[in-house]
Amino acid sequence: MVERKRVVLYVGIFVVLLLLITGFYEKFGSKGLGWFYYGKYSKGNGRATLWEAPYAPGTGSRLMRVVSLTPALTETVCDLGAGDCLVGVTDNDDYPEFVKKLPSVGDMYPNLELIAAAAPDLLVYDPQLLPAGVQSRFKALKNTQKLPLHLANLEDLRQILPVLGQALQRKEAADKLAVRLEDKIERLEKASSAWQRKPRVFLAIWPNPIVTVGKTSYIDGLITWAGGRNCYGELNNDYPTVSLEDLVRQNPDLVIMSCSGMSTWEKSPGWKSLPAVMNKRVYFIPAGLLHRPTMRCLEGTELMQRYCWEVAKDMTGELGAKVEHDS
Amino acid sequence: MNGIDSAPVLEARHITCAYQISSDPVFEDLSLTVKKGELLGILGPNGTGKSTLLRALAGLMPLSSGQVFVEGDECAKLSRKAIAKKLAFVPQNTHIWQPFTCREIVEMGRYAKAEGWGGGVGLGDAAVAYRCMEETGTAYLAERRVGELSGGELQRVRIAQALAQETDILFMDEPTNHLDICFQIEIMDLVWRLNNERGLTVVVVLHDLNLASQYCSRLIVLNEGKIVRDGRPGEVINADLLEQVFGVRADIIAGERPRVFLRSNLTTTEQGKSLKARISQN
Amino acid sequence: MDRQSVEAAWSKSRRLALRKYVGYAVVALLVLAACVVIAVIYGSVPLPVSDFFAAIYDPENLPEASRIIIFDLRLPRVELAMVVGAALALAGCGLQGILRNPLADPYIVGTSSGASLGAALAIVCHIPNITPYLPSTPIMAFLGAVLAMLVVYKIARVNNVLPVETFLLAGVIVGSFTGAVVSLLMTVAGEDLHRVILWMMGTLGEAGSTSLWLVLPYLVVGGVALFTCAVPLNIVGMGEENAQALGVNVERLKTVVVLACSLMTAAAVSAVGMIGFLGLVVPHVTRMLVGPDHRLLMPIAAVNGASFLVIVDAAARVVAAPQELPVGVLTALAGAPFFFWILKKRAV
Repeated sequence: MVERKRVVLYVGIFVVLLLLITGFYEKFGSKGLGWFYYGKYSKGNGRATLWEAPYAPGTGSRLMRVVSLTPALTETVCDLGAGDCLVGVTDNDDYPEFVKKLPSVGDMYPNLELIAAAAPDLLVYDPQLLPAGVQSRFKALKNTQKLPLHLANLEDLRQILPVLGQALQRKEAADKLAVRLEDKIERLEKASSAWQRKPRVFLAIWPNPIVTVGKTSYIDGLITWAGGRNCYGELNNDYPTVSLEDLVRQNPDLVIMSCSGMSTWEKSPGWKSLPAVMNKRVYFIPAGLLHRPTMRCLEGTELMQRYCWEVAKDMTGELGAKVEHDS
Repeated sequence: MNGIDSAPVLEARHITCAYQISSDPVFEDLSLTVKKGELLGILGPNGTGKSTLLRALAGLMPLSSGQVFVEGDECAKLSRKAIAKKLAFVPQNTHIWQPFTCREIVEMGRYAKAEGWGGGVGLGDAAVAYRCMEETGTAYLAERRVGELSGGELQRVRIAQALAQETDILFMDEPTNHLDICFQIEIMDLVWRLNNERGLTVVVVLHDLNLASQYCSRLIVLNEGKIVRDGRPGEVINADLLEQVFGVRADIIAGERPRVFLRSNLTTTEQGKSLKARISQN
Repeated sequence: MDRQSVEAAWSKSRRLALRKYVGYAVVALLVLAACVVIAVIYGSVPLPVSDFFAAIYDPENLPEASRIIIFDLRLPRVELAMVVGAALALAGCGLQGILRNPLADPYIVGTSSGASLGAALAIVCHIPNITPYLPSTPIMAFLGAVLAMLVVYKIARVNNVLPVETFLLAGVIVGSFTGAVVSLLMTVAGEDLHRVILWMMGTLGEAGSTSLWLVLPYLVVGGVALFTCAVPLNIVGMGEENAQALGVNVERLKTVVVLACSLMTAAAVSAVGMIGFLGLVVPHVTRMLVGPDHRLLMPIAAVNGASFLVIVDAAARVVAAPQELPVGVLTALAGAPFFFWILKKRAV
């Protein structure tokens, strides 16, 4: 009998605590509930909460609300001029700057409740970057247009621009952007086509372990447009991991580090004995400029072309065609 | 010993019983008839199959061959509930892991005849249960949980449960095993009363020869799977039985209900002589 | 005691019993209601209490976000949690009764290992969805569970009798075999490994009306079957021989109870993955509160199981918001202190 009373007592205490926390005692928090994680969620990572509605400046009419689950698509949305329509992104979104302050709907696994709370009109995402099974749950969001766009390389970008522009009601901007895309690519190709010799490039996109790009990655194409030849361009992998010995055997003409953080190799004697390193042909390109297949990666490619040209002109020993850039 | 009909209420024909199919049978080709109103005692050394025989008669043990007939119906063809309406069985030990009250335990005995839906207990059932608890002297335990009872009390509650089944035949497997002497007498008196006043047919396995002799109307002795003695106590219990079957020597006061005083084997040796001298001194 | 006083005592005890029954039922249902309220309000997105009442009385005027969150995202989860919790608790009750052991768990029958094998096969071999309404994983899990149950039954049955020890051993045999095959599948899973592990840890995230209809019929049918076996289950607690002597057909009872419990467990596991300890803890605690009579124990344990799973699912959604913890992890974490408490109680 004593044990029964004790169990009842524990259960009773538990229930009372729960009631307190849930704010049947409405003192906690203006929304009445969940004050502790509500607070953490809004202040912890510098992001805003989900209850702000964007309004078209000066008009008072409601802008379209867009939630993007893929950083590359977020950047493209901003490139199309619809940046102020964004009401939700993921933790991984960081460009342009204002996106870092936007509310987040999750990390790897987008949280459906947060997406629903953002009440988006349009949900853009890359279906291949979502974990399996998440996509089928989106059907619960009944008033949202769901737009799966696969964006893995610039060819995809060409194809999705009109679709995205249509959905965002920014067709003109999309057309203009497509033209600019083609223009830039053409210029890059033309500039490097006149070079006598294309230097061999080693491009690292991750410091530990060192990961480079293979034939199937779009960055390989970027290297070609920049006028270089990817050392590992025969490998069928997207992003192979390489060893120092193999790199020494490859003996690239220049090394481009496009990653954040130092690699463990940089202290080792094998690295320091590479001709490229000894000749100070190691260049740095910020990761964001190459890692996403958006307009920004063309900036990175232009930078790469500049570096390749520095190496190329020394190799041929004569001045090749001067490279024109628009900055 | 009045009220014994000549009609057999329980009949076993050529039954063979084994624990497993391949092992040796405990007893083979055994036939037994129990008449209505008898108080039958089954005796024998341990391991000779007394409990097995009891269970086989009660329909709780599968038979390798042969049939058991209860009140004319073959046991194997009856449903469990039908068998439970005809006979009740009290085993040696009862272990209940759930904390039921004694009243609920005794009311479980009414399952076969219950008035309520799905075996639930109605007013008549409760009355019967209470009466049985009074008869076995366990009425004061009605609201106590079984976990708090001593072995003797639990055994009496179990007997009350069996009585609540209101059957004509009662089987008991060594019911006096862990009871105090006063309770042993009480239980045997109860059994005697049930047999005498209500005409209940009782089949009891006992190991105490004196109790068997005092109360039973008929005794059966089992040895190595065979019935070696069958008859009234006065006929069955003699020095010959004790020596051949049980391997002991005893002094017996003969009569219709013989009394047995076991004799130690030591009395023939040197040490035994001093023991005997000491006994005869006091 | 004469007839009159027996009648008086009888009706008094009947009244008391009825009052006790109603009292426990009301308390259990109140707790369930509280848990449902909490689970609907709690989540990654804080909702005000007023939204909850608006959802009941005035759904049209809810802000759209709240409406979607409450009705399309949280309510299906709560419903599924109630049904699965009730099914697992009932299965635990039945098995604890028939095996005469208060530490029996619905998973010893082998259904969980069979279900995990079926699910692992479905995930790793990329078995396509048969119907557009139901993904293939729950169906394969259910088939695996039923198959495992049949194998256990076949191994354990000797001469038309189902001895308890062989039953438990057969469960262990089937469990270890399927566990080995699942490990093998996990080594070749590659990138699907994450999904397999997530399934095995149990999650209510796939809630939708289809999952509910996968479990609900089994809960209803199994529950009714178990309830008709309530009194025999009480009697079987005295031992199988005693129960047989009292008129219970123990073999038939075992078949019915094991079948009902296995089917309910199989349905529950295939819908949500492996959620452990619920089928062990809830019947045990309910028995301590309510008593051993299965007629009272089983319905109350079902309601308690529903409340338990609803509140644990709410916790799983909230503790690491916006990430969702697998529910099976939380129930397992809760199990260790519970066993510690049992140990201490027995030692004293």
